[in-house]
Amino acid sequence: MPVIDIEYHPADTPVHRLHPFTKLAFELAVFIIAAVFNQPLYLLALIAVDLALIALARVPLHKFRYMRVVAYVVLFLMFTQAIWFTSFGDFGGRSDFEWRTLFHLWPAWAPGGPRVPIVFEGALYGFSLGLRLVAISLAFPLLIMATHPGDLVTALAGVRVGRWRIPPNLIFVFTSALRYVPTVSREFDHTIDAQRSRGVEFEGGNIFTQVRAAMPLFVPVLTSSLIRAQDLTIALETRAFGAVDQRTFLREVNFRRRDAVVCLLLVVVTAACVIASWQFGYGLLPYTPGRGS
Amino acid sequence: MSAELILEARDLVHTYAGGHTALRGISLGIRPGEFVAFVGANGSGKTTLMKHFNGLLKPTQGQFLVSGRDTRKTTVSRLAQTIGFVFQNPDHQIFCYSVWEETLFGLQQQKLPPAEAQARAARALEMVGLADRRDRHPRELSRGQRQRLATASVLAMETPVLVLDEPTTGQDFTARRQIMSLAVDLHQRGRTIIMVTHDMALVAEYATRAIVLHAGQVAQDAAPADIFLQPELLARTGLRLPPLLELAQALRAEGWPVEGHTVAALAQSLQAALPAAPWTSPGAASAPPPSESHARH
Amino acid sequence: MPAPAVSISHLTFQYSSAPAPSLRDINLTLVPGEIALLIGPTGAGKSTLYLALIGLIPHLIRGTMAGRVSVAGMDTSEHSIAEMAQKVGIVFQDPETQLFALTVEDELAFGPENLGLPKDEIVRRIRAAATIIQLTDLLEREPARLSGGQQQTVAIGSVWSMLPEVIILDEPTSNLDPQSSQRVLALIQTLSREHGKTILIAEHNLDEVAGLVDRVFVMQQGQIVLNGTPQEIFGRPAQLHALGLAAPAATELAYALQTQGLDFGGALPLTLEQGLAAFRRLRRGTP
Repeated sequence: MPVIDIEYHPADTPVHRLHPFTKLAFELAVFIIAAVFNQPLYLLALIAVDLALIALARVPLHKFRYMRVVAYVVLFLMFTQAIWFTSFGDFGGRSDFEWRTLFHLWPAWAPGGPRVPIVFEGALYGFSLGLRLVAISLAFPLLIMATHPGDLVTALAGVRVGRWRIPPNLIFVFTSALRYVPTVSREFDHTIDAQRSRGVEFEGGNIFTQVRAAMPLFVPVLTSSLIRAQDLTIALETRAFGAVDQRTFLREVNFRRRDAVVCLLLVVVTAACVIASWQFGYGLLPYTPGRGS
Repeated sequence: MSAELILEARDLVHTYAGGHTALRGISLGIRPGEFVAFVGANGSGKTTLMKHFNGLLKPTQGQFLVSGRDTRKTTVSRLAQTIGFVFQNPDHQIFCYSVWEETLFGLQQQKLPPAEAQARAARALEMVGLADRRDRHPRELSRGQRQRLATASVLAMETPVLVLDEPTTGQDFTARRQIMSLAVDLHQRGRTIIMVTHDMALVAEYATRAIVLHAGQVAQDAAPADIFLQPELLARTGLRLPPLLELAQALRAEGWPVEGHTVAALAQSLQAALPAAPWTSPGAASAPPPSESHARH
Repeated sequence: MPAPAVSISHLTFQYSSAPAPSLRDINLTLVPGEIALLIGPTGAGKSTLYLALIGLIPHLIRGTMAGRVSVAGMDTSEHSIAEMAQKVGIVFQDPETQLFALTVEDELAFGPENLGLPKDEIVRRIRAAATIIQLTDLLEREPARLSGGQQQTVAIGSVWSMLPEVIILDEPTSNLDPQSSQRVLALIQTLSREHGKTILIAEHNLDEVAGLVDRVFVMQQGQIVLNGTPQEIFGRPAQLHALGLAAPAATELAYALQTQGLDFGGALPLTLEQGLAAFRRLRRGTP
């Protein structure tokens, strides 16, 4: 099992120096743009922007090991859409479009064949759905990886809506959870080692074996997580956590001019993409539901 | 020759995915029935090497053989029938609802006939002294008792080789003695015992062979007594003599003819060198002799 | 006579889920500035005692408590945990459980930040703590990537920045290698001797601490069964053996010879240096 490695990666880059909310705005922008486009080329451009930012933030590629799982999902989407795309209501019965069938799963020479066509347009659509997923899953962890948690905490603690603010305990729960992701991941690794040493098989086997292997894995990890939570509570209490209503934050996070510039840029680009897509039909596959020519 | 070795490493190299080479060419052999200690400071590679014993890690270069079989061609669950691991933290293993179920678990994985499995589990619980608590929930046990439970579940598998991972770190005196006397007992019954530790006192008391690891290589492979006579080796590899032996070494440096590794042995050799020393009245000999618990053997 | 730094009288505590009390009629007093050692087998109640000293018992942990615990003049039943945290700090055995910040500096700042202190005060405290633990050039480092010994000193530093009067440590050296152990113990000694803090340590590693401490308390099954100077406690190995404990190596060796008739002049050596000195005296023929 690969270690889920989404955690803060310290460096001093322009991305790191941006205000956390600017980065949050970026993630929102990526989400919207990925939603309005489905032409693979456009989505690939978006992914290129993601990669450029990752490079700028100097986050090492091995932190993105979880993308392997996403790759499987992309293939799954391509396959299922290739088969079932044309059966969807909106265009299954379209007579004005030439679907290109690549081959049949149930070949012509088999009895009752040819059946179950693999349609090129379907595969392409599935691919574009997968690309959306890739674009979003590359962008989202960037907030965590390129933001010092102390900055995130300070930024969240400074949010004011009138007199309401986010409860500080909630902020702490959220940011500590992130800090413990690699810790819990390590617990999984230790437990897997211990149980494998007793003969438990975690890989291979059928679905039943895999489900049965969940208990010896999750019970020890859950138990240790609960104990850890308890220990953390004690450690926090002994450092007077929650003692004062207005906690001091040594780290300062300021919304600077460059943040305003970046946010403005994001708003403009996102708006442009939305208009281009909805109004003018750019960046869309011609046969996608409810759009295009 | 290799058929006689139960564990064998041949030019074993292991490099982790991040690029760190933890083992840089280890070659060694362990014969059945030995009591071996792998010692080294943190970062010496001893944990990495230990994980090769049952195939949790496979060599990136070189070979590791268990009873002549290459670990790369065998699954961990197969190797678990030969090598039993007792890990440092029992809570990484325990997940069943009762002591009895937990002890049976490993045997069920091996698909043993129920009668045989139950017999083995009963024997194992007897050995660790938890037989009267078979129906308890593991959470009702103290940390020391849970360690014994985890040990029992491994003992029940009756593997010819037992690997103890830091068996005494963080344990108090009594728990330490219990764990080690169990290991000694098993060794006397013919099992191969391997300890992985940085506790030199443990090595002094129990191991007949110590393999010192440093920076991913074997720095020394000898009897503990020989290793203790090499202060530069210990300093270089980040190890330290147990307090008793440090004292013995300091006394030796001052000309005292001390010999031995236990309090009793050292005292005896010192006594012989102090015939003219002031003795109290003969009645002083009536003071109770040092009890087993501290004589460290 | 200065007021005691710690005063526990007739403390009895039973966890709400336990069949029997974990602490039974504990009486313990610590003089300001002294270093005290707490020893006893696992399960004797040391951790429970610690929780009572910092106020987690009775405020956070459920159970029945009788008796009185007073630290730096504050009764734990009458003051909140946060108030107690400014008088008594605790360092746990495993640094992993108590270090959670991303830089050493953030870790040292955490306590003072929680107290809502002004920024310049916090900066001052961080600098003082970093100087004392001698990690001024590691402030930007990630605690999780430091060595065990450094982590333990960061934990001590993070407690120090709260400026407590009493510091209690739970087996500070058990996960450490010998060099780190020595550094941590030397730091603890400095905190007491040079800064007048009262220290309570629980330890199994007797050889390292025997020469360091002013007083020893032996706990067993929720009670304090022995209480005295190191010489009074360690110098009588027989009573330790009866409790299933061992004395420091030098003491055990001397004791083995003493039971064969050798006279050590009344005081058994506790440390290696004392052991060597004692044997030198024997050679010269002077007790």
